[in-house]
Amino acid sequence: MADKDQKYALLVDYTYFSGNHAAEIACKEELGLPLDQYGIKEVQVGPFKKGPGNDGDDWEWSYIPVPTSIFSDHWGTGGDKAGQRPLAVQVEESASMYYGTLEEMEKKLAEFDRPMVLFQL
Amino acid sequence: MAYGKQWRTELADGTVVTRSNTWSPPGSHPVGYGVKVVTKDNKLIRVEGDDDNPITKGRVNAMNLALREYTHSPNRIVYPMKRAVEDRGKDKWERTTWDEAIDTICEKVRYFQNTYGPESIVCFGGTGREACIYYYALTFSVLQSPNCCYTQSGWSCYGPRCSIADYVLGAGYPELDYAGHLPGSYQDPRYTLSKYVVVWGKEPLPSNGDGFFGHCLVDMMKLGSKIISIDPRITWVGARNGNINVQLRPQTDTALALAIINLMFQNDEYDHDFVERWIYGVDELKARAAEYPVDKVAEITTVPAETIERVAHIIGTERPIGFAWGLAFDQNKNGVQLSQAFIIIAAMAGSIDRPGGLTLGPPSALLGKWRMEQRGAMSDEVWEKRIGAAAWPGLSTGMATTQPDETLNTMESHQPYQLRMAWFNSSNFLAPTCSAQPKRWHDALLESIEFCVVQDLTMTPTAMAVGDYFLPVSTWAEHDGIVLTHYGRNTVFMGPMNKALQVGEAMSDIEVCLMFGARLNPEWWPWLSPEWRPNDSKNNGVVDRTELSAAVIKFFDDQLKELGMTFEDLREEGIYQPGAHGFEYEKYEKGMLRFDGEPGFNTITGQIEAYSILYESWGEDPLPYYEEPNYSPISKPDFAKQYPLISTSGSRRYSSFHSEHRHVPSLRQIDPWPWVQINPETAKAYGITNGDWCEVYNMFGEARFKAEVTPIIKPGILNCAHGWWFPEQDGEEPNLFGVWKSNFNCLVPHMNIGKLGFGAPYKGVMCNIKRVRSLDED
Repeated sequence: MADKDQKYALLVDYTYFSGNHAAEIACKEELGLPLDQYGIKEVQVGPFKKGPGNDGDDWEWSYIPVPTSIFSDHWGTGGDKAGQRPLAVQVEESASMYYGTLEEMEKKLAEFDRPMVLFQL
Repeated sequence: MAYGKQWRTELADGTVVTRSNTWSPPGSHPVGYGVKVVTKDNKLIRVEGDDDNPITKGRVNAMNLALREYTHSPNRIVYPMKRAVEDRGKDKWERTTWDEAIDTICEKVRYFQNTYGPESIVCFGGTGREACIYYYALTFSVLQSPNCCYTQSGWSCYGPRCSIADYVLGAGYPELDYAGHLPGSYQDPRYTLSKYVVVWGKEPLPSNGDGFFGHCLVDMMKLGSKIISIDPRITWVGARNGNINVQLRPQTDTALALAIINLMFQNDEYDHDFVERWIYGVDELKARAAEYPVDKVAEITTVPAETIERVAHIIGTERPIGFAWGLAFDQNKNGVQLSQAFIIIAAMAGSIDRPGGLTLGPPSALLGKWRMEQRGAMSDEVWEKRIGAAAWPGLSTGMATTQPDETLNTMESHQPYQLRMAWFNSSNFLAPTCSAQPKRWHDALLESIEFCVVQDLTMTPTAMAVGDYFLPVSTWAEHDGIVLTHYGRNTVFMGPMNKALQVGEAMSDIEVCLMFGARLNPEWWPWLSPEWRPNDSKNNGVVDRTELSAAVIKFFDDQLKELGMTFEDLREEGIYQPGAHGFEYEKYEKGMLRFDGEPGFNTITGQIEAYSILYESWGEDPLPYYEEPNYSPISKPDFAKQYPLISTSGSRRYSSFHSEHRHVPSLRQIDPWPWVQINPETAKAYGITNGDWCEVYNMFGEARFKAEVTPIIKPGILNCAHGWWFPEQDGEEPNLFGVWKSNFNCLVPHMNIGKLGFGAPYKGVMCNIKRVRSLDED
């Protein structure tokens, strides 16, 4: 049984998160949400040009899957699904979302040498 | 939740979990996402991922995750329907039984066969779905007609690439080596990661084209592969750090390819050993490529010369180089030359059938082979009546279908004979995915066709306009079957589809073939007894399935015999990867590509033909060349003022498969309206702001979209959505669910195709744009 004060987190490798909408649909399916509600909602940054050339390095274009309060209520501290891998994390096509305890995710974050987002739920 | 590797698990509360692999319907290429289908009381609860699938590893795309909505949608048709011929275009459908539908349809088939000859029947197939395997059999051995038609002008999807691979490379479809065939995946000792992957005219993440799991590119980038993206747009993949973008003018790809070949020769940067041993016509190729110096090609393509030089140097020197080629090779009048040049570049880079390069399939395998054998069900006399076959040998040698454009001509002119009965097997051909000039197809079909059967899942504009019988099809979760990537042209892996539920009286494509085949041609369809009847007319509309389900298993057992396994074995195994069963690289060295067992490629010369003997025999230039697109402001200067822009189309999004999924709420929410991408500078010049409704038009037609103002496309270029219709609108004629309102294919000319009969300019026609008030108001 998980500690009732245990904190959980969602880690996103947003360099490679491709904006494929699978996590959005998965949350709706897993939680039975109505159409206008989301457990995960993707936000888009760009595309805009930032450099003089036309290489990947000259462009900014990323997506971040944002966990809503509905997500935190289920997978955060004391949530009914706390500690269980969300369907969204399993199915997301670019395999760029990680879920676990805050300590696990902090450790995982340290394995990467690129920008990441850590959501404390 | 983990449920284990067994194919079916029943939980204490009555929930059933079925391990499966996805295909279609809903529309999809044969990707084979490994999934667990969760059902209870014959209702689909949700689709989850299968962590044990070595390729998809638990991942599932948005469309398959929305399968619950699709399965139990109020738009779904789950019983056979019929309508009087005089009521075509009206919503006067009434429910019937399979018993009645089969009896009536078989009677009609016999009538047309006996009165006008079997060639008076035409079967139309759509793209991507499982029907791509079965509609050939339905035509050739069930209906015994030679006329199987994919209506896209110039057969502009996958078929051209496969045919050119067959003619020039002498092998099945070459696909990027993403280790999908190896049980150890990227860590398999036989595999080497591609240093660079050239992604050309393809956006595989949303499209999964031909069954290639597109997100493998992300896996490979994470491991260190860099991407060279050749596309008129900057794609999300192209916008990753370390990647290179070659942003060319639509339809100028062949010029780019020739410039790269020229630079590789000029700089002496290519795999000498491979080229000397395995390419036929090297001197002629070198001379031809020299006609495409980099400065000239920079002008044609609008790609800076330095970029072309940089890319040619990388392809010439870095190893291994992977390649992924896409739809842009097919939707181009000059595409036959592009595909030939592409194969040559891959060969010069030493990438053919080598780790981290391109894998090759045998010329045909498994279900692909069975599919092609079905033509033997007709006499030569009937087979020779195939529409367009004699006039277009460059197409009809590689493809078993009619020439698509000629099929429209035949329906309009009744020459050389009248087509009188049609069967649509998963094709919504009026919606802009497939046929060019769809209004002509609509009018010709209504005039020519006396009896029409449609097999689908929802009431499409096509079914509403032309159908007399509607046969309901089951989803991949509702039937047993096999998914094999690339339709058997390069089976990277193969998986079982395991039936998890039954919805209404929907049938799979193979079940429909088995039922009608047993009745119409039992010699070729021995799996089900000719005496078998659905018996749903006396059984409250419920089909008597025991024998039918057993026939499906027997059919697949027979298909799998050559691999020494049964369907049950495959089901228990969960997946079949050639890497665990004797797959080898460099098959050309080992006599594994030619039917005579000699080393080399299965071409006339035994080599990869840079100088194509077959092209020459068909009156085409044996060497690749560039041709300016016919409908561009350069080739039609008189129209350049009226239509100064160029629009491409056909790119995919995560929310739909071509004309499908428009009625699925959670997917429609992602992309609610048809869109046109336009550069900020062009938008400003035309007084267009983001979100405005616009009309894109040219000399052939017009279509409406909402503007997406974006810098990923160059000034003067548009990218229009395809596949749009509006299931929420009035379905009856003349509106037909609004199918003419945002129909990009109305702007694409009929029969503007290459000399071999392949390639139409869906990805590049001249046009203009103006702002309008809304979808319906000017």
